[in-house]
Amino acid sequence: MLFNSLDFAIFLPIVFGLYWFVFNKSIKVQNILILLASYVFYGWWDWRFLALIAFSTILDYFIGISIIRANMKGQKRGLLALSIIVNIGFLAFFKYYNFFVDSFIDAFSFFGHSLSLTSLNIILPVGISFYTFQTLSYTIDVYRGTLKPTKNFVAFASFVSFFPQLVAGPIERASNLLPQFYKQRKFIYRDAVDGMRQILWGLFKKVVIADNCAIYVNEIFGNSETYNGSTIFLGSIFFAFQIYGDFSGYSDIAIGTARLFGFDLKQNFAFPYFSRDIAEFWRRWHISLSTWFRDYLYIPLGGSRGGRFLAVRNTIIVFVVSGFWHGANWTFIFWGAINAFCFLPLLLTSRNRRNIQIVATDRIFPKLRELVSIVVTFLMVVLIWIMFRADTLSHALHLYSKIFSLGFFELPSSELFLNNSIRLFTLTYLSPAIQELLFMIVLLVVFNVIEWFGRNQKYAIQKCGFLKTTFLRWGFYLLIVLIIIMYSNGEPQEFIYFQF
Amino acid sequence: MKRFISLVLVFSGLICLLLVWVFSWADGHSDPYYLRFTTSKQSDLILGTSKAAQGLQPTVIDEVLGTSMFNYSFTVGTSPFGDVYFNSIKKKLNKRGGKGTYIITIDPWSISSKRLDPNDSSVFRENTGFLNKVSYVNLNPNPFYLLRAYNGRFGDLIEKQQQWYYLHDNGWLEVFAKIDSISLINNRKRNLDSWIESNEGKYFFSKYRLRVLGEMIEYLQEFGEVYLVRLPVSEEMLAAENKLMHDFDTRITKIIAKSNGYLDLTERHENFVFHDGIHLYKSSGETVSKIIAEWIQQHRK
Repeated sequence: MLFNSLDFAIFLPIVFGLYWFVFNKSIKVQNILILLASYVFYGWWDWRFLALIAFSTILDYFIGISIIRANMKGQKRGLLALSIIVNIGFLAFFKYYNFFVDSFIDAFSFFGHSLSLTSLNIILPVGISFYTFQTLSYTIDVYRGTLKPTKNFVAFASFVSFFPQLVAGPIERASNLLPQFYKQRKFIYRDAVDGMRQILWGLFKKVVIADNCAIYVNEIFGNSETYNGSTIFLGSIFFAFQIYGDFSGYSDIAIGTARLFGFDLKQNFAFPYFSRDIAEFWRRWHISLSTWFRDYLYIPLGGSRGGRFLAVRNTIIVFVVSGFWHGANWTFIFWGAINAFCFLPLLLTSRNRRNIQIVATDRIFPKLRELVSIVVTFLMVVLIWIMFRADTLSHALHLYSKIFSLGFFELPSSELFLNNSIRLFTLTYLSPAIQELLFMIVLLVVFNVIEWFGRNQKYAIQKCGFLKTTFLRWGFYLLIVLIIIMYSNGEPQEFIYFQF
Repeated sequence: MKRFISLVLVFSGLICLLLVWVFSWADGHSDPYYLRFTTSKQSDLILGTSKAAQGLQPTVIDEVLGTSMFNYSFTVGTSPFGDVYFNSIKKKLNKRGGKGTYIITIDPWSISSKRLDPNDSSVFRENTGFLNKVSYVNLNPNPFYLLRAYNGRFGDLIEKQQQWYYLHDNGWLEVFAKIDSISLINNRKRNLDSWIESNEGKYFFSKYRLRVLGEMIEYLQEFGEVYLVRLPVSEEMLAAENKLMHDFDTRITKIIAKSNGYLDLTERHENFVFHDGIHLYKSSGETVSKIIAEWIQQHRK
C-alpha cells in the first residue's frame, strides 16, 4: 500500500479508530491490531511475501531467546551466525542472485570461458533490505548483551513489521522501538497534531517536489544521448531534489504516522542539502542507515582505532557495502566508492567532524564561507548522484562525459521543455518552455526557503514560527493541501526506495 | 482526543471542499471518459467501443426518434462485451424510465480477446480498466473516477489544456481531426497501421464475450428495444476484421435473433470519411447516426 494512495487514506483512519477507540483498553490487543494492520499493509502489495517476514520474525525471536539461554560463547556465536546467514541469505537470494550470476558470466567470458548459469525471474520483496537490517540489529544487540531478548512475541513481530516504516524505513533499532511496544501508549494531542503536520509535509515533498522533478529526470536520463551537458546537469539537480523529496517525504509520513499511534521514530533526514562538507552530508542523509553501518559494520571492523590505514579501509568498506545495499548494480557500488573517496580527505585531515551543528544555528543567513561550502557540497553530491541514477556504468560515464564537455556551457536543450508539461499558472506572455523552467525553479526555491527556515527542527514546518496566528497557519496548511491536490492524480507514483 | 478528532474532521471537511472545488472544474476537455460517469441514469443508450463513442451522435438520433440518447461507449480495451462492461451498463441504466432504445454496436474485436485463451475472463484487460474501478457512475463530480482512474494531474482540470477531443454532455466524443489528404495519411499511419501491426493475429474469438452480449441484449429487452449495428470502417480495417472473423455474420446469427434488428453498414464504407482509418469523421458520423435513426424508425413502423 502506498502512503500517497486512496487506499492508505482509508486504511489509516480505520486502524487509528480501532486502535484508540475500540482496543484502547489493552496494550496486547493494540499490538495485535498493529501486527494485523502491518500484515494487511504489506500484503496489499503481495501477500505471498508475508511468509518471508513471518519466517524472519519467528527465527529471530527464538534466536534472541536462545542466545541468552546458551551457556557457551561458541553457541551464542553460532546462533548469531545462523540469524545473519538466514537473513542475509534471503536478501542475497532475492536481491543479489541475478547480479552475481550475471557478473560471474561476464567475468568468465572476459577471460574467454563460458559459464552456463541461469538467472532467475525473481521478484524483489518490497522493503526486504529495511526489515532485514531492523531484525538483524535485534539479534546483534542481544548477542552483544546491550539488549534483553523479548519474550513477548506479538511485540517483537509488531516491531519487525511496524507498517509506518516497514517498506522504506527509517530502519529502527530494537533498543528504541521495541520497548515502546511494551508500554501503554497515551494519546497526546500535541504529538498527534505534530504527526499530522509531518505527514502533510511528507506528502508535499513526495507529490509536489519529487514527482514533478521525476518528469524531467526520467526524460533526461532516459534520453541522455539527445541532450547536451547543461541539460544533463540540470537533470542531475532535479534528481537530487527528486530523491530527497521522495525518500525524506516517505520518512516524514512514516514518522508522522507512527506518532499518531503514540510511537516515536528516529529522525532520518536532517536537511542534508545544507551540509558544508560530505561528512556532514552523510550525518544528515538517511541517518538510520548510516548509523546502522557505523554501529554494526564500521565499529566491529575496528573503526578508526587501528590507525589511519584501518580507518581508510573501513571507511571504504562501509561506503561500498552501503552502496551495494541500495541495489544489485555496479553503479551503486561505484556510487558508494566515490562517496568514500570524497569522504577520505576529510577523515585523513581530521576535518570530518568539523561541522556538527546545523549551519547558521543562531542566524537567519549563512556567512559567505558557509554559503560557498554548502553550494560546493551540494554540487559535489549532485555529481555523485549521477552514478546512483544511471542505468549502467557505461551510461554513467556517458553522462559524465557530456557534463564535462563544452556542452555544459550551452543553454539547456529546448526539447526538454516541449516534452514536458509542468504548469500551475499560465503566464501567457512567456513561451511555454520558459514558463515551465521558471515555475520549476520557483517551486524548488520556495521549497528550499521553507526548508532553510525550518532547519533547526525535525522537519521544516514543525513550528511554522513565521505564521503567528492560527488562521494563517491553517491557511498555510490548506495551501499545501491544495498544491498537493493539484499535483496528484488517480494513479499514485511509487516511492524510489521501494526498489531497494 | 475529542479536540483532535474535531480538528481532523474540520480539516478533512476543508480538504473535501477543496477537492470538490478542483473536481468541479472537470469538463469535456478534461478527459475522454469522465463526463459519462457524472450524468444521471439513462433510459436510451448507445453502447460499444470507440467507434461508437466517436461515431454516433445522440442529438442527431434524438431529432429523428424523439429519444434522449446517451453515448455510453468507451474503447475496445475497456468496453468489449463482458461482465465488466455489462455491470457498468446495469449501473448506468434507468430501469424506471419507461421504454428505452438501445443501440449496440458490434464488430469482431468486441467479441474477441487478445489472449491465447480468449474465454478466461479472469485475465481480461478490462479487469484492470476504469470501468471496473468506478463503482458509482452517476455522481457529479465523481470522485470515484477522478481518484481511481483519472490519468492527468488534478491541476489540469483547472488549467485547461488544448485537447484533441471534446466529450459532450450526452457522451458523444467529438474529435478535432484534420482531414486534408496529408493529415489523413498521417493519422491513418499513426492509428490504423499501428493498430493492425500490433493486433493482427493476436485477437481470438471469445465464446464468453458473445454469450455475455446475448445476455446483455436479453437484459436490455426487459427495458426497451435493442438494435444491433455494425458501423462502417475503412477498407483496410474491414479486411483486418474479416481476417480476424470471416464468419462474423454466422457467429452472431443467434444474437441477432434476440434483438429487434441488425443493421450492417460495412458495405457502405466508401460513402464515409474515417479520420484515422478506424473512426468516423464527425460529418460522416452525423450521416451514419441519421441513417441508423431512420432505420430504427422504419423498423418500428
